[in-house]
Amino acid sequence: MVLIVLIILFKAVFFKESFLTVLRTAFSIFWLWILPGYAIMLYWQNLSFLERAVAGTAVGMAVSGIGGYYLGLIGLNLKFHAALLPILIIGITLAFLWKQPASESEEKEPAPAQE
Amino acid sequence: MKFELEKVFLAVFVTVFLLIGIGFLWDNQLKHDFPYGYLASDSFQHQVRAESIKDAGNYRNEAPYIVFGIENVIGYYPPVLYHLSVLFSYASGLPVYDTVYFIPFFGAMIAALLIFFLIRSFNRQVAILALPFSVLVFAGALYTGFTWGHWPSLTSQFFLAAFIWSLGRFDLKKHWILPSFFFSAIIMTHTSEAIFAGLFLMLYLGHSWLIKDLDKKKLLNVVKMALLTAVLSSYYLIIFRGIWMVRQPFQFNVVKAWGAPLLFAADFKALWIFLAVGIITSAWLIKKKEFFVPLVSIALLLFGYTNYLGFTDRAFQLRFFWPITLAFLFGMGIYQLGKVLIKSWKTVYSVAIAAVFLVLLTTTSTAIYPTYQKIISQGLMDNGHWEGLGWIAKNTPQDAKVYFLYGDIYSQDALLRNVKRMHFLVVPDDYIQAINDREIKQRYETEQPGDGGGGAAQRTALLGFEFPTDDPERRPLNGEADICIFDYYIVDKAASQPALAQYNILLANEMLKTGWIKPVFENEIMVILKNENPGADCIEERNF
Repeated sequence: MVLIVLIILFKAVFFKESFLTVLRTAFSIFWLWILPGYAIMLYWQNLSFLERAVAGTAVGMAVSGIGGYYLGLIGLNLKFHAALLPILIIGITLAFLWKQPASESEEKEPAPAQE
Repeated sequence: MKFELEKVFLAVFVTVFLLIGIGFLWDNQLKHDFPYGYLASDSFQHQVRAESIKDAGNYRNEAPYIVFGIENVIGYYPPVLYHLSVLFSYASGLPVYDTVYFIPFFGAMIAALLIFFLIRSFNRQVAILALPFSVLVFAGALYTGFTWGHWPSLTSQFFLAAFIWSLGRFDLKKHWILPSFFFSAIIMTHTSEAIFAGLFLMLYLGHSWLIKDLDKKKLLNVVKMALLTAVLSSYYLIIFRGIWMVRQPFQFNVVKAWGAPLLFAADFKALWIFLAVGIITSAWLIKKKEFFVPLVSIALLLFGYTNYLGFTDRAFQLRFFWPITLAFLFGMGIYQLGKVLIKSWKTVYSVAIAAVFLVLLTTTSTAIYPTYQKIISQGLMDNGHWEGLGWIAKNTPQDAKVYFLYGDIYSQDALLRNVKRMHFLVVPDDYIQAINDREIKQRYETEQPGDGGGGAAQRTALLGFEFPTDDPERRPLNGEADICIFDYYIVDKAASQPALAQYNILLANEMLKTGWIKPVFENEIMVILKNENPGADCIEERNF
C-alpha cells in the first residue's frame, strides 16, 4: 500500500519522468528506509500505521546512514549495502523482537488533548 | 469518514510539498544529465564528496582532489548524508548528484509529517491547520537553504525533528533507544545541530521537573541514551574533536548577517497574528505535560536567535526549518481564533481552512505575508561543461594537473573538483588586468581551490591528527604561477564578457603554436588542451 502511494505520488510530482525510473526510485525508498524502519518501529505498539511508516522512514534513514558508514570503514564496499543493509537491519530487528516481545507502549496513542 | 478526509489532505499536502520544493526545480524529472538546479558552490562540495565516497566504496579518506592533492587525508566531514545518497544511488540507479540533492527535500517532507503527528497528539485540528505553514520552507531566503547547498544542515534538522518527535511521543522513562538513534544521526550529519538537540533535551528535562515528572528513572535513561549515542557516534566524534574543534573552535561572537539570504522572525509579517495568538494561548499550558508541543516551537524560535550568543551562522541555518518547527503556533493561532466564531469545531473545517492557506501560501505573491517563490533554473552547470569535466575524470592519469583558464561558472570552485584531479584556477582579476594591458604572459595569478575547512588532516594516532596545510611547503598554491607546468588546460570558448573568452582562445592558440600542446577534447562550450611537455616554455610573452 505504502509503495503504491509512493509510486503515485512520485509520478504526480515527477510527471515528465519515465514510469520505470519512478517505479525504481519509489521502490528504493521503500526498500532502503521505509521497510527496515517500519520493522524497527514494530517494537513500539499503539502507533497508527501511517505514523509508524513515517517515523520508520526517519529511523531507517538514521540507522542505514550510520550503519553504512561503519560497514564501509570495516571494509564492506558501499556497492553491496543497498542489498545487504536492509536485510541486516530487518534480520537483527526481527531476532530482537523474537527474543524480546514488543513494548507495551502504554503511553501511546494518547487521546488528543482537544478535539 | 473524518479520518479519511485527514488522510486525503495529508496526501495532497505531501504532493504539493514535493511538487513546489523539488518537482518544479527539477523540471519534474528525477534523473538529469548533469547536476541540475545547483545554484552555489556548496552544492557541488557535497555532490563531489558523495561521488568520491561512491568511487572509493567507503569514507575512510578524502579523495586527494578534494584536499589540494594531499593523500591519506582522513574523511572528516559528517558522513550520514553522503552514505544515504550513495546507498540511494545504487538502489535507484539515479546519479549521486541527483540523490544527494533529493534527500534534504525528502527529509524536510518527513520532518513536516513528524511534526504533524507530534502536534496531532496534542490536538488533531491544530495539526491539520498547522500543516500549510510548512511549505514556507520554500519561501524566499529559506529556499536558498536547499538551492545553495546547506544540505547536511537541513538533513540534520530533519533528524532533529525526529529526535523531538521521539521525545514527545514516547516518555524517556521507558524508551531511550529511539532518541539515541536520532541524536547519533544528528551528530553524524551536521554536528552543530547536536548542540540544539542537547539544549532542547535540557529544556525538556526542565519542564519535566516543573510538572513534577522528573524522577531517577528518567534521568537514568537520559544517561543510557547519552551512552548509546556516544558509542554509535564515537568514531566520528573523535574526528570531530580532533579536527573541527581544533580548526574551528567555538568563539563567542555576535553575528548579525552571513553570506546568504537571511530570514528574521519579522519576515513572517501578517502571519504573526496567528503565531502570536498561538504563543499566548499556549502559555497557559506551561504547567501541563501537553506543553511539550508548544515548547518545541518556542524553543526553536529562540534557538534561531542564538547568533547573539555565539552560535553564529549555525543559528541562521536553524531558521531554514522554522516553518516546520513553528507550525504548531500557526495552527494553534488559527484554531483559537476560529473557536471564537465556531463553538463546535469539525475536522472538515480544519481541512477547508488548511486547504485555503495551502493555496494562499503557494500560489499568491504579496508583500503582506511570505509565500512560496518558484525557482526554475538548470543552475550553474550545463551539458557542455559537465561533459568536459567528466572527460578529464575518465581519460587522464590520476596524477594529472589540470589548469582552468577563465570560465563564468568557475568562481563556484567546488564544481571544479568534478575533474577528479588536482586542479588550479587562474585568478580573474589578474586575467582582466592582462587584457587591459594587452599582454600575453606565461605567469598568471593562480589559486588552488580545495576543501580547507579541516586543514586536510591526517591521522597520526587514534586521537592524534596533523594538518599538512599548516606546513608552508605544502600549502595550497596561491600566487603567481607558470602556467606551462600543467598537464591539461580547460579553455572556455564563451563567457558573459566576450573579451574574456577571446583572451582564453588567444592564449590557447599561443600554446598550440608549440606543437606539444594539442587539443584532445572539444565541444560547443570548451576545448581541453593536453601539454605533452610540462615545464617547457609554452608562451611567447608579448603584447597584442
